[in-house]
Amino acid sequence: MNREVFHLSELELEQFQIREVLRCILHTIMFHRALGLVRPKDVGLELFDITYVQCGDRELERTIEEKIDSFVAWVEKHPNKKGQVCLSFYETRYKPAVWFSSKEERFYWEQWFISLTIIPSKPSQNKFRHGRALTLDSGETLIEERNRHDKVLEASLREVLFQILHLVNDKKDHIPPVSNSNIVSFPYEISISSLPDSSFRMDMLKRMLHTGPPTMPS
Amino acid sequence: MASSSSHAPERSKVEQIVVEFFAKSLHIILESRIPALGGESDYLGSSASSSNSGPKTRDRWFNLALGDCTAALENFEPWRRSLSDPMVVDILLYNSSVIESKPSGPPVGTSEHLSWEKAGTSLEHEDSSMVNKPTTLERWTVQFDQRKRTNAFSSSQALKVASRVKQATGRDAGRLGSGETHEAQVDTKKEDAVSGLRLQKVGVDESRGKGEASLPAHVTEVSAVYKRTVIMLRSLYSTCRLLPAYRIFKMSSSSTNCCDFYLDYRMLSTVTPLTEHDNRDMSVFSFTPVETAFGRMSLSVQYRLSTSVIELRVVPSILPRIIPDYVGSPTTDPLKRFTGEPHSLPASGMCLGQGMHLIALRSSLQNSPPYPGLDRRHSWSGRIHQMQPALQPPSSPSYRISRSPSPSYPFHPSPPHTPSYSPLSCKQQCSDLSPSPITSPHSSADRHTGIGIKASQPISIDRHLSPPFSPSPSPSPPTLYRGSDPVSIPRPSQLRGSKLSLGDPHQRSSRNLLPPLSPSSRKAGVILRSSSESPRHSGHLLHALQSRSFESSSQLQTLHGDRCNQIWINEGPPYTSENSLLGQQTFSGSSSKTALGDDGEDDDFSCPFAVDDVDGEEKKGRDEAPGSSASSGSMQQRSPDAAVGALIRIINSAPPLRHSSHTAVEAEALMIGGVERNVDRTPRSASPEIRTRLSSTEFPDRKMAAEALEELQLYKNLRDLMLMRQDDVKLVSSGINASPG
Repeated sequence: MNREVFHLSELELEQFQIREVLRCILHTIMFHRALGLVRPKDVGLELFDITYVQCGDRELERTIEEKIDSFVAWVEKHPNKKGQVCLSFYETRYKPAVWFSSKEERFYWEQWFISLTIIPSKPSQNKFRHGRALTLDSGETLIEERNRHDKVLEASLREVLFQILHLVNDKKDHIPPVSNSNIVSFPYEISISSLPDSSFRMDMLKRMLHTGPPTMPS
Repeated sequence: MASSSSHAPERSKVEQIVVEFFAKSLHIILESRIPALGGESDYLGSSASSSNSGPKTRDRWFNLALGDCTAALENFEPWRRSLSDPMVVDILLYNSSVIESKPSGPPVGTSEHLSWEKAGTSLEHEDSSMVNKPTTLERWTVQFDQRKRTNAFSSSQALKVASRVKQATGRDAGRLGSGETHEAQVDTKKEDAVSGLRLQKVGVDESRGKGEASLPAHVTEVSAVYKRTVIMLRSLYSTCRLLPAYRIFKMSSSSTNCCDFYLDYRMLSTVTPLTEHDNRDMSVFSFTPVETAFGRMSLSVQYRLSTSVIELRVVPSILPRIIPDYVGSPTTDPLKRFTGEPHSLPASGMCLGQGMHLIALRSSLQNSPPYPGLDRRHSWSGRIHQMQPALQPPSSPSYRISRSPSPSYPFHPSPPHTPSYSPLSCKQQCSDLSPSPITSPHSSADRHTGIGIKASQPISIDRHLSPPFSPSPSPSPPTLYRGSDPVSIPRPSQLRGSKLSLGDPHQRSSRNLLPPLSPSSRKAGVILRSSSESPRHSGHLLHALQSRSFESSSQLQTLHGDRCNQIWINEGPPYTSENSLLGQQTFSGSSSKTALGDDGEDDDFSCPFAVDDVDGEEKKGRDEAPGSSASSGSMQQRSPDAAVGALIRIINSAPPLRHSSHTAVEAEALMIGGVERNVDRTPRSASPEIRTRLSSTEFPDRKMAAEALEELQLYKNLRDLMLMRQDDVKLVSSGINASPG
């Protein structure tokens, strides 16, 4: 069985936009991998004019919210760093061990890498966001700037969602057969990691070769 | 080759999957595009056990429960019988304003009007008299290409056709999977629609000239086919919500929708070519087909690009947007006027031009304004004498902002009133301010450019802002305090008590116009009563203040802001005078007199005063503070009547109001403000008697008035401090500049 790794387009967003964006992307991916009986739930983003679909599985929603909280906490601890959220689907295989025991092994058949670049909020933007008094001219400038940034991010997010649709449609052969009647048909895990900086990429690659992919415990 | 009989069960299963795939696709498309069908979807319960009932069983197909789809599948029967023809669903956008001019029954595209024809004929609307030509937003094509035993095309021919299709369709934003496959399907739709030719390139095996069932088993197994179909339908569901037309669907299906458009659909069994104009603005999104042993299920959509949808300028009735000049903002001119109902304007009401008028208290009380949300905290500190120059034209920045990104919207009716605009906007103002993003008049030029959705405004930000005003039931909007009917007047003379009034026969006679105080209300103060009479009475009252002394037996109660209607004045006969208080104002009609000592006016006064604590008044008072305080102190020492006369002199000596069209109301407010200051000052300065009377009175809202006065004083002190600091800074900077030299 093949393993498919999908790297979605990188998004630049501010910290207060992380939750909505991550929630949208993760639920969109899960909706296409939750092959059990679902009653889709349309959710409209508050920050953008985008509607995505959720499975309606509470367990899944709770898990995703926990991971989003973890990522936000990680971002707060590691400012000015690119973060990456990895949604992986795996199969549990039991590998026979030496002494009549079996070892559980996870075989990841699909991984989605969501790369986010957190933009530090500017003081003026903070001031505007908190609704402080502004002169009319500066207020209009900040409004226009904010509008531009939001439009760019909305277009990028929409592009990422279409990218997900392309990939889920295009690659179906690697999906294992459904073995249960749960809403979420396949076991999955969400991990958080940092995106290495370009200047330290080689060092990170060497480290990864020796120690494996870096993951932040959730 | 396996016998056909062994494939029969599998074939029937595949056919059933294909039929349900068609039905589910149609259901997903229509419930996310047609408001009438989208609202009817209802989940049929979460029963895990499969039942034999048709609707429930159908709902569980592909593990996607969408609810009842009876209405959406009304016209699906022909495809149940035969899957040879594609199912083409066009989503159409109609301009209902055009239809209204030519009523022709229910809109086309509903289930009862739909008709379809097979074998290459195009659909024709039953109502041929319909003038309104719809715009095709989307065209969904669902088809099952049955695999034939012999190849119709070689792979090379398929590639050639695909390349031609790619050039014909223009930008292909949604090409998925193997390019040859999708482009071949588009080619089928575009060029061979009439002949029904189907491109049969379904895989490598077929290109080798083999027969049916040449695909790998894991691909053609029923379970694999079903799983792939489930994923495709999931993608379809998500895609329907990401395409631009979904925005129009949300607008048209919202309960508060007042747009001049509606969505409809038509189903075709053949692919009719779109107009050149539609083709130019459309892009294609194709889903990866699902291969079966007997054919291929394919799904694609031609959708109008978001940019062209923006041209449609279909906007919701209310757009969340930023209101930079919201009331209460320091950047907002506090004297910004809000219009009221024309008929509620007082005779002496101030015409601010451009269709804006002040709203009188009495009228507001009468009419219970629908937008009493002008309950600004500091509206009572407005500046009457600064009203006219500070008035903002209709094209205020807020309107400008709302107007700029959206030229015109042909599908929107008359502008609605939004709380963010003006709670008291009258019709005139609305017409003047019509060019707002949701209120722009129709433009014929825009109609020709197509229809679409207005680009998103600073919506993302206004989305988080709540409207500045919340309609409150307060009967006294702040504009009252800028020169409309006054509602309160602090009467220092009222503090004097009965002793002062009774002692002067002259005053008594002149004060006979005022009703005597009830014995139970021995309160030092004046009670102003908001009246429904003409505000010109306020002018008479003011004049009465000028020339008459206060009646000691009257009650004095001073309130500000929205409590002024609780201030009562002992109503006396209206005062008729043509004298101008400040040399520029005239008062006509009759009004009740105050106890200020005027003679001979017998009009009933019922006009409330506006307690406008005008900064100019304060300044005037401050400028003359020493004199006034001295005079007030001396007044107290002399007599209350003298004190009042001093106040009148102060007011008369004040600089004239800026605008010549100041009404009596405003003059009265100025005067009252001056009187109020003296009243405020009076208790503090040297009038223990008055202070005692004040303290002994029982005014239900005196505490609030006092607090308001204190607050006003605080603000004045702050302003003085800031001015002083500014002067100091200037001095320092001038000193610094001078020193190096």
